[in-house]
Amino acid sequence: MRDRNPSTTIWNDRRGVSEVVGFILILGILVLTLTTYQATILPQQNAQTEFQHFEDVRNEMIELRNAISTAGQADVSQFPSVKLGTNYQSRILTINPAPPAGTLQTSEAYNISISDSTDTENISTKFIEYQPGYNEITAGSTWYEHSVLYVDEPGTRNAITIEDQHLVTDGNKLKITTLQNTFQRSGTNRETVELLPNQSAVDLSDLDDSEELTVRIPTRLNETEYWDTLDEKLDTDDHVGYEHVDESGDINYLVLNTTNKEHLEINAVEIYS
Amino acid sequence: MRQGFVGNNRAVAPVIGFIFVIGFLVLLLAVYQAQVVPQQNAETEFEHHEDIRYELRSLHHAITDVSQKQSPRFQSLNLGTDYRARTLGINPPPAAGTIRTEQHNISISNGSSTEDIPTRFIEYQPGYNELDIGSTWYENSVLYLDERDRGNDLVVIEDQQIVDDTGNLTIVALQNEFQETGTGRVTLELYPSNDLNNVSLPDPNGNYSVKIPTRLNGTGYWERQFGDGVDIDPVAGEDHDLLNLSVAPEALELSSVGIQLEPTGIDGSVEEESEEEYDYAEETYHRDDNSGDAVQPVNPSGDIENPSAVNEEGGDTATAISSGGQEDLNVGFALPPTDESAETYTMRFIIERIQVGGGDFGFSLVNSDGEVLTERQVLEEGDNTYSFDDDEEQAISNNYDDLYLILDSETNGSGNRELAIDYFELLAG
Repeated sequence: MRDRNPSTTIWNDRRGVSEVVGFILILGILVLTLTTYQATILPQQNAQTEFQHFEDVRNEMIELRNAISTAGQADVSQFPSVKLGTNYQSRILTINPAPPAGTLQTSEAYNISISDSTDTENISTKFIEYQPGYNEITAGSTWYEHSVLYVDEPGTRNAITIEDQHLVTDGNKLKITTLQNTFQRSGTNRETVELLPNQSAVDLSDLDDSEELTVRIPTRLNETEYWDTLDEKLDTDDHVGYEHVDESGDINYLVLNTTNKEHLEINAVEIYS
Repeated sequence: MRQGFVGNNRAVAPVIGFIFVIGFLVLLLAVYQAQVVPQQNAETEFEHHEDIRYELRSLHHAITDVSQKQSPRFQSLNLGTDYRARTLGINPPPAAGTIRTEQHNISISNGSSTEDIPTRFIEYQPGYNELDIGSTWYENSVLYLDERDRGNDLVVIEDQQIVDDTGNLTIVALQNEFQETGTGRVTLELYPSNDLNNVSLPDPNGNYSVKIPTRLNGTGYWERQFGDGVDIDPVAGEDHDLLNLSVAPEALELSSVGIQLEPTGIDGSVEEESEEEYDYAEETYHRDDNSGDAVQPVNPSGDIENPSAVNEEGGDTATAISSGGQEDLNVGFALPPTDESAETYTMRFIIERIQVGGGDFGFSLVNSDGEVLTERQVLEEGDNTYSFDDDEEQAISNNYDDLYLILDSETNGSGNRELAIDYFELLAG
């Protein structure tokens, strides 16, 4: 006896629980929305947070650069601070990557050498690098060297200048602020940098007072990238003259001359945490 | 059974509910964009306004510091601000600000002659989208928020420091053009003057009368500072007036601060001024048989008539004269210090007339010890330039601030010997 109704096979069964189907559909849409949010909107928002931090850190590096110059040239201690990293906005349903940490550190030491016809004096100096650790945006390190502040974009040949040099402003005097001591800090917090002037680190007593001096300044920048603007700025009758950029070694050297010692001012700043 | 449209009472409740909810959300969003976003942005702008006020105050202190301590300062300002990031709702573009300088002159007068000293005001102009806030100005050490063109008052942030309790007048002339617009941070590099000593004020003749440009006339500010008797001259057609002050020469202190570059010197033309100040008619700067006490020549003979005429080109001439029968002419002038590091030196003479029997007039340079630095060269009529050889130029450089010009005649007759000189100058190139 066959009591199975042919109309109830899986193929032609027309019954359905519309509430269940609706619920499954809505759940599906919600899950889809959440994944889309996590995959596209969240990285966008985090990139925005990182970009804002990048802008802030740029401003703080300008203040750091100004503080170094003030400490050296005005002989007063300065205590600027830099916020090394940032935190993403907090989220309930989705997951953020780890907060981006940054590193602020001094480079290895290089010598500035000043020579007259017979003697040479060496004074060591360092650069400062701020290296961001962003998850979303690609941003190069920001470098400070001898009052020039620039972003070194990876993959491009050109440094983007944030603040110009003031080694020479009116052609009358070459003013160099050297940076000494080692500094390295990493993290997401705000770090204070102590800048203490230390005039005793500079000794030019071996040099003749009236002779022309040649000054070799270490630099990561090359001539076409930056220093040719200085060449254009200086006239032949200025007391400070531009010679060339020596690009033969691992590090470049900017070579300048001054008519005598009176037109050269070197000061030193020590950096502590 | 059929029903008419009006009599139809069926409804699809979920659809109507959904439309209501959507409508409600859109309404919420519109209210948020129209009310909440501007409020929050105004809050961001106000925070920036507080920050920039603090930074301008630091700039004010830095300018004072640079002039007092004579060491540079590097002051930065955050010109604008970004609004907070939004997921829903749209922000206007970030608020940019402008900083600029405006040139005016301070004049210092002794009653007969006047020296103009250029100075600059600084204006910071915010570019907010929500708040309506006027410019902040720095003029002669006063920092104030100027809301007058908005019908409000003026708010002084930092008071003047030009006149202190003891009545001394300290003027800091701010120099060099600076202008920047943006939303980021810009640095104002402030340098002290290199050559404060080159200020060439007119000779004091009682008190100096000092006119200081100011935009603060009519606000009662100067009256509150200096009392009701303060004297302000309106300047027609300009947005500034002149504040008149009278000050004893010893109570006047001048300095200048340059933005981005060292200031070029208080008067902007230091060298020309110092040349004008050098007066050959002064006793120490010439010597002949009758007058002058310049160190050289030690054995003068003859006379220089009207020695002040050689101070400038054109016009009168000075006449070096030695009357007939007397011995040859031998007179001299002390020269102003020249540029020690110049590569070449030449001597320029404008001679109006030479009257000599048989023989000639010539010149040479000596130092205060009488050591002959350059060989005697014969002078010709007209505007001529005389050059020196390498050894002579080295000798001039070595004695750059110790140079004397000797004028003499070598004649065999005994008639009148006269040399009419308009002008001479030692040129350093």
